[in-house]
Amino acid sequence: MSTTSPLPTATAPAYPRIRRFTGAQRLLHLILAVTFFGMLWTGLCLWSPALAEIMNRPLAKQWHLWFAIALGVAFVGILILRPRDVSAFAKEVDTLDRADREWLKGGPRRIVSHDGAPEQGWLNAGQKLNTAITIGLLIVLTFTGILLWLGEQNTAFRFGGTVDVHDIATILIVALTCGHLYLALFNRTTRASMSGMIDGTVDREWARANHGRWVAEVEAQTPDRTS
Amino acid sequence: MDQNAPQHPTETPKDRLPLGRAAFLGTIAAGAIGVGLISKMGGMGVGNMIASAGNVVPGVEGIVPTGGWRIYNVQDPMPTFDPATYTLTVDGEVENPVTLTWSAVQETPMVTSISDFHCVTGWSVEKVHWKGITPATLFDLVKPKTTAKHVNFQSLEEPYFDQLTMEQFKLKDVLLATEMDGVPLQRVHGAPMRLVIPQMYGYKGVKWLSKITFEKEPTRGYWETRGYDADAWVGDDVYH
Repeated sequence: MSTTSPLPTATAPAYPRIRRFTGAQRLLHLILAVTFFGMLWTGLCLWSPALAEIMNRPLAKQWHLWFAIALGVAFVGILILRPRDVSAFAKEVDTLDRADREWLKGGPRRIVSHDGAPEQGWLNAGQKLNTAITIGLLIVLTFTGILLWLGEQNTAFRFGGTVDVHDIATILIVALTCGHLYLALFNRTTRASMSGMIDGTVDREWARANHGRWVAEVEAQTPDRTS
Repeated sequence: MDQNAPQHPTETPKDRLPLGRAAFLGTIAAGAIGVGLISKMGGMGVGNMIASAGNVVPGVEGIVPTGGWRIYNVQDPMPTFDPATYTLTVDGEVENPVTLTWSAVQETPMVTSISDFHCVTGWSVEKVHWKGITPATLFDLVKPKTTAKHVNFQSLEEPYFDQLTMEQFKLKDVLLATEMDGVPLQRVHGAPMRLVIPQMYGYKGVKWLSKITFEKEPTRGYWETRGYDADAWVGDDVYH
């Protein structure tokens, strides 16, 4: 008879990982990342004199538009094929509860201090607001981008404020993306979340510490299989 | 779908507030209101503000669009002006076709004018100081025939060209500019010579000008064959 217990122990849990994002959610995030940086690069080529000779205007404009179309098609496609994956995210981002609001009060300070946070759900308040504002900015960029494109075809659609709002929205979304990348790649409290967008899972104990209410909900729903 | 995938968002307490939705809708509303308000103000020139900020930071000149100018070209690299080999040819429906060397261009009488520059993509640069040859001076030189109804402007940047009617070419402040803001036209602005027509959007102002041809028939320019307006009037609300 073997002396090794087949049961998980406290120090070596059988399911050390917990699934955080579905394949569809990760795919949409990946497409957003690729198309965002594609649009940022081609947009910079249209804006910066130093880059004008690296990518000329017709080429930069053409790629800028194709990246935007690819993002739109991907979003609609995933929304049609996997509506629950998108709606689950939208529902989570939609509202902030009392714990979210408490989280927000100490959010910026906590990035530096690494203090514990009020127990959070699937997404914390910062992730919710980042997502809501980023998607809002993407819609503003789409709306102003369409106006810029229309204005070139028919000058009745050329408004002096369009390019200014497109510029401001770009500056804001780049700032948000820099913060997002810092938290995902470098900040020691939050960088463990990165794997959630790569293989879909995160460390269970990290998740318990940072999204305790969500872990409790998942474990309550599927007590027999928690990975 | 994985059974453990988080398909149900965190349980909703009664005190949930739709702040995520408010942030989302507020961002969109701010963008829409911003376009309306800033357009009513005639544009706030965010590009100019960034350029101004860039001007006080050493080493960023050329990286940010200094002075508010965004540099557009349709071929890489953009043409490089060589005074030893440059020529400006003026031909077509004219009594006296000419090919001018750069020295001959410089000896041609020039005037100065100040006008705003408007790009169809939405940005503008105010009070640009131009110096160049007027259409009237060019007419004295080449003597267009009565059959000349249109004027083609060919760029060194092949295949870029555009066209004006004779009436448009004769408009006030139209210049074949060789200087901008007190200095010889820079390479990125179309050195050594570009067309300036403040009443129309910038794509009509052919840069790196190499040939002017008076024509009987109309032709559609580079961007016009790609969907742009043939008559690129900036409109009374923009042009002053």
